[in-house]
Amino acid sequence: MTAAHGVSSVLSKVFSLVWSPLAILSSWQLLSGSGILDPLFFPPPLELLESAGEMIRSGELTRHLAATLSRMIQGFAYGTSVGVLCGVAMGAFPTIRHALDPLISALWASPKLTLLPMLIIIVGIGDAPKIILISLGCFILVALHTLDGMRAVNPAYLSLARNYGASSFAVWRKVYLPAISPAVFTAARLALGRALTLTVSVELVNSAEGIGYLVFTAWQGFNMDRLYIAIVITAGMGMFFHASLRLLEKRLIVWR
Amino acid sequence: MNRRSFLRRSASVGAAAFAACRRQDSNSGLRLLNVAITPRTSMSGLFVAVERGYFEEGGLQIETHPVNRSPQSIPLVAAGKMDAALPSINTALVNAVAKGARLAIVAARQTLGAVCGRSNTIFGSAATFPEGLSDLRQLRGKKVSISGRQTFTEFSLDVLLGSAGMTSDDVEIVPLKQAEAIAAIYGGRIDALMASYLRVDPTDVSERFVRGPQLADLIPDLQRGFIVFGPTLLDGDVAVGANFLEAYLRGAADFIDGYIPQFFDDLARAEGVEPSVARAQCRDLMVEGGVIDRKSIQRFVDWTVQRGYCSQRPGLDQLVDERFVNRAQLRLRSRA
Repeated sequence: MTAAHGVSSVLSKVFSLVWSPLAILSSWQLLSGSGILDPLFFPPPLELLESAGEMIRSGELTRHLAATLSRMIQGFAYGTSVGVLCGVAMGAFPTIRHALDPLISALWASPKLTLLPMLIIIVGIGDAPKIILISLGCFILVALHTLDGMRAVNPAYLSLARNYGASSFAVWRKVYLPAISPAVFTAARLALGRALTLTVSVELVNSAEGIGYLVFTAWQGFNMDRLYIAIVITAGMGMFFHASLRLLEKRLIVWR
Repeated sequence: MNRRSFLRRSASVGAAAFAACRRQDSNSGLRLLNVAITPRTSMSGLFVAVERGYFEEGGLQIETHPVNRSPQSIPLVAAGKMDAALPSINTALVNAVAKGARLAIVAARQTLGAVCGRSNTIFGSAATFPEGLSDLRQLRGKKVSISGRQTFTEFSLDVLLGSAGMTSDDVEIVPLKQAEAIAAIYGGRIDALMASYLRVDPTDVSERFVRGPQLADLIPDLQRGFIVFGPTLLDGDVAVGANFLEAYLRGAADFIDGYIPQFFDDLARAEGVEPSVARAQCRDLMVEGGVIDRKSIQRFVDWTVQRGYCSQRPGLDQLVDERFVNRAQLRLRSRA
């Protein structure tokens, strides 16, 4: 492959990714600029860019973004790690599965935000109840997917490994780990999306900073430019994390 | 006519034609008006007017649309999705008008008053303030919750702290929804809360609370509830808007005189107050005649600008349009 061919292939990939958002933004700019879309409700994207620039310069946007990312990543990390451990334990030991099943089923179905007042009473105000809430959302998803991965392990592989005298550690490393990894990665990707959704939602109802808070105050004060900036940032974060985990999955789970 | 104005005009003509079709109720011949409300007992004037057919007498049919918070109704009215709203004054309204939205306060609805429940009152934790919370300076350095930034609650706290020579920098502000703030007081996580809308006094139901000062003690006549019209009524026939206000004001007057609308008890229960208590209180807060106190609005606008929540200061003439209420009052007088 020549260098020119490589560059054109990368460019075409980039174009295929950005053409639709660019088309939407250009149409928005045109319609808003010509007055067909009321700029009071749909400020032109260039104006949004200007407002975003001001918010970045003043440090406001960075502060909100940092708050959201910090909560989201902490919630995701705690929830996912405990979820994997719990899913493995439930898959390996039926007693644990039977004990945790009703609890997880109940949490799975309930809207997590309803738990917030209770968490505030238990752990207080601040970030702790929010992070616990986000962790819970991630935990359930990851635990259930991991459990499914564990249960999907072909018993023939286990017998084969044991017949060849594989140690328990070797069985885990050679059979279980490769078998559950795809499920765990899928769960992690979904959990990251859920973490973002829950973070923004919880900030909408109870926070003094963060992207959700920015949405709330923008709506509360009729600041449409800030509202759209917050929405675009949330969507961008979702796209970025989704694509990053996809890439990681491709690199790490080569047998899939 | 250039391309831009042609496109603009075509879009407005299309929208107006669509709106006209939509607004005329084909069955009754009445003009349909969509009104955004936060369903509370304080909306009783409107409910009475609907029940007693005052709107129909004025050739109107009212469809109410509940919203959770007053500011949510502002974009809806500004965009012409709603014809009118009955909000509390809020930063969204001030900011929208400052940015050129076609919105205006057309009548006053409710004053703050000290007689009705415990809205805009500070409640402290009995653990933090065992001797009571009579002096606002006791709050210095304490964690005080408000329901959110840019809210009337924040305004109330600022005014109260200002009366004691303090600012919000002298306390630690914790934005929490009211229910969560009450839970946080129970859990000892905050020291006080600025109640936005409480018809039940927490000190009546729990010893963990002590009552502090309320905004109504300071400025009892401050108007906070208004009627807001959007472009569909402001730019239409004045008679339609005046008919709406006339009907509303008749309903409000009936309520003040003791008429109780249907579902009032349900609303009271939803607000967490004993219906008999709600029936006995709060009538005095209704602004009979809808006369707007411009000073009340100016006070809130000043705070909004001072706080930086609104980059441009709207003039009061932009915010207030008294054509409708004046006309409605004339008709009410002639009716009397």
